[in-house]
Order: sequence, then C-alpha cells, then structure tokens
Amino acid sequence: MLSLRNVSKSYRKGEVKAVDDLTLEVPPGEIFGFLGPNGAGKTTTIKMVVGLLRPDTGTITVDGVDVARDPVKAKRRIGYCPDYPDLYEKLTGLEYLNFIGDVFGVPTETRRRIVGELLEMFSLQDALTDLIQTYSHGMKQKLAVIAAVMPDPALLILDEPMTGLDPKSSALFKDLMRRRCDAGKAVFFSTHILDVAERVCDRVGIINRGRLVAQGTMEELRAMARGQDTLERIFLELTEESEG
Amino acid sequence: MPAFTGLWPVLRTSLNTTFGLSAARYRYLIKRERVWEPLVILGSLGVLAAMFEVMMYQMASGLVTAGAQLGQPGVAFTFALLATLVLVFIFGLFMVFSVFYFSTDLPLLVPLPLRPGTIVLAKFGTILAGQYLGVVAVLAPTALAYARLAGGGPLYWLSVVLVLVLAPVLPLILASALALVLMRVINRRHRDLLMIIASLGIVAAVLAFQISIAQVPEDQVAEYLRQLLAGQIGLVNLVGRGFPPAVWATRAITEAGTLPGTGALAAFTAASVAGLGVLAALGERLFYGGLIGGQELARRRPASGEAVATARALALKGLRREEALRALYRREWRLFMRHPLYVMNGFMASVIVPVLFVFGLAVPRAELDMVTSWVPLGGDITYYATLAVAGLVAFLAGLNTTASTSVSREGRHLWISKVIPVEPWRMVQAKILFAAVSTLVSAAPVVAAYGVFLRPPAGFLAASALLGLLGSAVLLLLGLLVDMARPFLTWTNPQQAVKSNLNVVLQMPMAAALFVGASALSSWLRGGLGLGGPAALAVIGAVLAGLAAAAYRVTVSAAGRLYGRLEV
Ligand SMILES: Nc1ncnc2c1ncn2[C@@H]1O[C@H](COP(=O)(O)OP(=O)(O)O)[C@@H](O)[C@H]1O
Ligand SMILES: [Mg+2]
Repeated sequence: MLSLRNVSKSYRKGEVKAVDDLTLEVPPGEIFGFLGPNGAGKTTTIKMVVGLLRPDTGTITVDGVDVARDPVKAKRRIGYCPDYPDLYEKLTGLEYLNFIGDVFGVPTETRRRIVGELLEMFSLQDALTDLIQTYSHGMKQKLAVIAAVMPDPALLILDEPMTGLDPKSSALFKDLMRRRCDAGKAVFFSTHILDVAERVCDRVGIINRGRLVAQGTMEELRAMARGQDTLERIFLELTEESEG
Repeated sequence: MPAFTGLWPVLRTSLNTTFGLSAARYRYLIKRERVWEPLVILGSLGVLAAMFEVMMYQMASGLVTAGAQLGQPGVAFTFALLATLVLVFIFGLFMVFSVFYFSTDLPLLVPLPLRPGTIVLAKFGTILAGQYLGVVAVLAPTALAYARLAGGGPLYWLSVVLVLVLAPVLPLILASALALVLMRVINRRHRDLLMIIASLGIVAAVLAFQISIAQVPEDQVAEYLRQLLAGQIGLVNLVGRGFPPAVWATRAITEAGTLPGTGALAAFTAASVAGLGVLAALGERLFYGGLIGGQELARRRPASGEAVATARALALKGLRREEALRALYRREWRLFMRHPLYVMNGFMASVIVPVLFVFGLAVPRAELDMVTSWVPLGGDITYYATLAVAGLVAFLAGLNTTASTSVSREGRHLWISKVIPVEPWRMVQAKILFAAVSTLVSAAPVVAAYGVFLRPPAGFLAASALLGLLGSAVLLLLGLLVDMARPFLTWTNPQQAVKSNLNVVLQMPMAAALFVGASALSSWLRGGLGLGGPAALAVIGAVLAGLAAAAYRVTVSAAGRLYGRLEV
C-alpha cells in the first residue's frame, strides 16, 4: 500500500540529514507503527509521503501511484492528520469537513455515515457548528482525524495521533483503525510512545537519526534484541546500537 | 496616575514583532538570503515615492502661493495637517483593532504582571511608529514649500519636527479610544462583522463631518467670497474649526519663536500628552473586558442528552456534497471575509472611494444637473472621461490586495492546500475568481456614478467598465503571480500577512506602469494615427485583453510549479 525506496531528505542545504536512505513497505491490511525518539525523522518522512516535502532522492508510491509523478492521484488515496493540525480558525468544524469532503468528492451518504460514527466516539457532536477557533487543542486534533478518515482513504497517515486524544477516545480510535485494516486498508502512524506502538501495531519500524534501525513484528524485534522482552528495552538497545 | 512599569520592554518587543525587525536582520544581514529582493522593492518604491513627493510639493507650493495672495500662506499647513489627521485616523482605526485585539503576543502578555494600560500604551506606540512614514510624506513637502516662500530659520524647523512627531498622536488616540469602547460594547457572536460595520460607519461619519464643515450655506456664498478676498476671514481658523489642534499646530509652525507660536506649541503638546493619559485610563478600564469578551465567544453547550442528539442531527444534516470548484471558491471567500483584518486592510481602501460615490448618488437630480451642465460633454471629453473612469476602476483594483496576498494568506494553513487532491491550477482559479468578484464590488459604483453624473452614450459607459475591468484583471493577475513567486508564509499574525507583505506594495509600480503605458498608447492612437475616440478605445481594449489573457495563462500554468516548490 505504501512503499518508500531509498528516500533521503536534508534540511538547510544538507546541514541536517533528517531522513537517511529509508526503505520500507506497508502492505494492505496492516497497521504500521513508526516509532522513534523526538527528532528522529518521523514527521519529515510523513511529510514527504503526503506531498508537503519533496525527497532529495528516492521514490515513494502509494497504492502503486508514484507520489512525485502523479501527486493528485496519490493524494486521493491518502488521509492525513498532522501532529499539530493548523486548521482554518474562521470556519466551523462542519464547514471544514464539507470542504475536505468536496475536494475529495465524498458522497453525502458516506460523509454522514463516517462522521456520525466518529462524532460519537470523540463526543464532538455539539461542537461541529462552532468556529474552529473556539476548539481546544484536543478538539482540533479530533476534527483533523475525522477529516482524514472521512474520505475513506486506502492509506491513513497519522502523525503522533495520541498526543491530543484522551484515553477513552484513543481506545475507541484503535478499534476503528483495526476495522479499517480488516477491510484491506492500511494505517501508518508515528509515535514516540512505545506502549502505544506495542498495543496497536501489527508491525513496527524503529527510526533513529533518520535511519531505519529495525522493523518487524514484536516477536521479530524481540529476537533481534537478544531476547529482551519489553519493547522499551528493545528500543533502547536498538537505538543505542545505531548510535554506537 | 499609576506607574506603567514594563512599558519599554513591551513596546520594544511589540515593535520588533510587528515590523519583523529581528527576522529581517537575520534573513538579510546574517544569512544574506535574497538580499536583492528588498533592494529592488525599495528602489522601485523610492522612485514612486519621489514622483509622489514632487506632486505633493507642487500642490503644497500652489496652496502656499494661493494662501499668500490672501495674506495667509499658513493655511497650507492647516490643510496638510488636517489631511494627515484624517488619514491617520482612518488607517489607524483599522490598525488599532488588529494590533489591540488580534496580535499573537497578547496571550503571552496578558498573564504577565503588567497593567492593561501598559499593554495599551505599548501597542499604541507600535501603531504610532508605523504612521510616521506617511506623516512625513504629507507634511514635509508643505514645510519645504512654506520655507521657500516665507523663509524658515532653525526655530521654524524645530517646530516643524516637533509638530511632525506629535501630529499622529491625537487622531490615533481618538481611533484607539473608539476601538476600546466598541470592543467593550460589542460582545457577541457576530463580533467580527459588527466591528467592520461599526468602523465603516465611523469613517463615513468622520468624512461626512469634514464635508459638512467645509460647506457654506448657499445664501451666504457671495458675502463669504467678498470677505475672503478682503482678508477678513481667518482662513486657518476656518479650515481647522473641525479640529482645533490643527490650528494650534499651524500656528506653532508659522509663528515659531513668537509668544503666540510657543503658546500654540505648548497647547498642542499638552493636548497630546493629556490624550495619552486619557488613553491609558481608558485602557485600564476597558481593554481586558473587550479582549476577553472576544475570546470567550461562548460555545453553547447543550446540557441534556436530548440536546446533544439534536446537535448531532443538525451537524449531520449539514454535511452535504458540493462541487469542488465551488468549495474552493467558498473557502477563499469565507477565510477572507471572516477575518476583519483582511477585509479592513485588503479591501476597505478600494471600497471607501466607491462608497463616497454612492453618497454622491444621493444628491438630488436638479442640483446634479446644475453641476453637470457645466461639463461640455461630447467628443473628446467623453473619450477622456471614459479613459479616466476606466483608470479609476483599475486604480482601485490596484489597492485591492485580495490577489496579491492570496497565497501569503494561506500561511501556516498551506499544508491543507498541499495535501488535498486538487490540481493546483484549480485552486489558483478559485483565487482569481474571488479577486475578480471583489473587484466588481469596487468597480460597479464608480461606473454607475459615471453613468448617472455625466450620462455618456451607452457605448462609452460600457467601454469604461470593460477597459477598467480588463486593466484590473491585468493588475490582479500580476499581483497574484508575484505572490505566487515569493509568498510570505511565515507570519504568526494575520495582520502581517497583509500589512508586512511587500507583495502588496509591488502592485503599485505595476499599476503605474500600466497607466503610463495606456496613456502613451492613447496619445499615439489619437495623435499619431488620428484614430477617433471609439476606435482608440477599441484598440486599447484589445491590447488590455491580450495582456490579461497572457497574464491568465502564465498564472494558471505557474500554479503547478508553485505548489510543488513550496515546502511546509
Ligand atoms: N523545517 C526544518 N528545518 C530544519 N531542520 C528541521 C526542520 N524540520 C525538522 N528538522 C530537523 O530534522 C530532524 C527530524 O525532525 P522530525 O522529522 O520533525 O522528527 P520527529 O518527527 O521524529 O520528531 C530533526 O533533527 C529536526 O531538528
Ligand atoms: Mg514529529
């Protein structure tokens, strides 16, 4: 569903190498957790996938569509929620959702079905007709998640989705991601919280200093990290190794 | 009087963030990034400013000479001061709203142990600093012209400088006081809209007041003229009677060094200082109330489960599909119209003039005929009037910044445009459409006024509209192109997106070039080729249409590169 081949990206004319020769594959039906400490290059990677940044080298395809060559076609397949969503403050939540729905060409019925379900999950029912500027950070993030899911995209990309969500919402949200993947879609999300990755993901990729240091199922990772049993240990072990 | 401790640091920071001093220094002096840009801009602006100043100087000289013939050359100062005051008041009012209530540093300042009056004074100082360029531009030519005719010693120049420094203070205090009161009173849902309406109303009232003051009752005109020529009327007092400080300021300069002159200067200074005191006191009382009222904007929370269900049903019903281009257009419209800052800075200048025309339309028909019967319509006059009206329409489009800030306004929301599956040219089309509609708003009253006042033949009326709109299209498209080429996206305060955006300013030299080009073409067609009026208008129209079409093609085809290049 998502495939990155030898993708690299530097900031400030090569001074900061944020992503370094990254190659990874997310098949349909999988929840992939992109795990790494702050500044590891998660957001940079995600921004390249959704078209906010251009990779210096390498190719990215979504559902077989090359992101660089056919960006609009690729974007139609992606739902994206950034880590700190800056939404249009002067629109109401409803107007924003309709705008996103219109540019994705989402039929009225689909909108009502998906939004209806998520509104309840996030208890955002009574806020939708208010201006986004009156929302709290968490409410904005919830709205951004709804906007990303509403087009029913083949690939859902979420950057640190749990930061603004309270425990109840995030539990419900996990179920939702699960169901989407059972229907053959894929979810790619980043997090620096091990616990989240461990509980939600089918497979985890660990990134440190722009390089993918390990990827696989939890079992595979444990094997790799010489039998450490918590991901915490595995994580420390692997990231230390890559630094040493 | 309470002590306003912390005033200087807050003012300094506010100046820095508002004018982007640190950012500019970092970018151009330390990183030396695209240094040619500000140089080119400053250069072309310098040329424009020089042209403007020469014009102002000629006008001022004319006024000084005319005044001198009546024995009162000082009246030129009164005019210049009043013009400054009205301009500072009008533009200051819009500035005050945005800086007092929409600065991004407010959430940082309010929790600090500062008095509200301190914040108000610091913000006031920031806006004041922004006014001086304009004040100098208007007052300096008069000071020079007066000095040349009446002579000016060191005391004269000292008074000029002092008056220059003080001139914007009082009108800005007036604007600030009005804004403080309005924001305190308007405390509800449609606050943004109400604010725009209220400030438009204030501006209209001030203009109407000025106009009514300038009017002499009809039956007294002859007597008035006789007294005027006989030098029996104090012109300075007459002109300045709407705003006495203008009289004091005039006398402070023209009678510099004398006792009355010094007294006038003292009065002017005292009034300004007292005004600051009043402002601080008002700030203490009203500022936080208005500010906090704006942030609460009460979200009504339904209490019962039943109410939640209703809210939910309502929200779901509101989810409805629409055509994509329409959705893109609506986004432009809503995001612009719901930001009072954008409407005031980007749109008002081009709307105020037409609004005055609408006032003009209210003049009774008979009186209108009396005036217009003097204008020998027909032949060349109609031709030039048509061109002039078209020029005015295009000029107003040049003041309209909806296009030239179009990409910049997206700012940190640009990511949304980049991730939605829409071809960039379609988004640019929506921007063009929005700019076009906003131009129609300012063009329509001007053309209507032309039709009603001068009653040209239908063909000429249509030509004025068509040429004006084509010229506007060229300007707006070029403005959009410039903003696409070098958008200003890193703003933190919507104010900066439209005010600290050099792209807006770049539209002016382009307008000037268009006017010069069109005039040259016109005189060549008429004089050189001997074409008749209608034929010349047709050729000019065709040239403008060609330019507009070319600009459109370039803009739309540059869209892809634009959205591809920008990284956020
Ligand atoms: N706009 C930028 N300019 C310069 N460096 C950046 C920029 N954005 C991120 N970086 C740097 O790139 C690296 C990766 O950052 P990021 O992708 O945001 O990490 P993560 O999301 O994993 O926390 C960091 O070293 C960060 O400082
Ligand atoms: Mg990140």
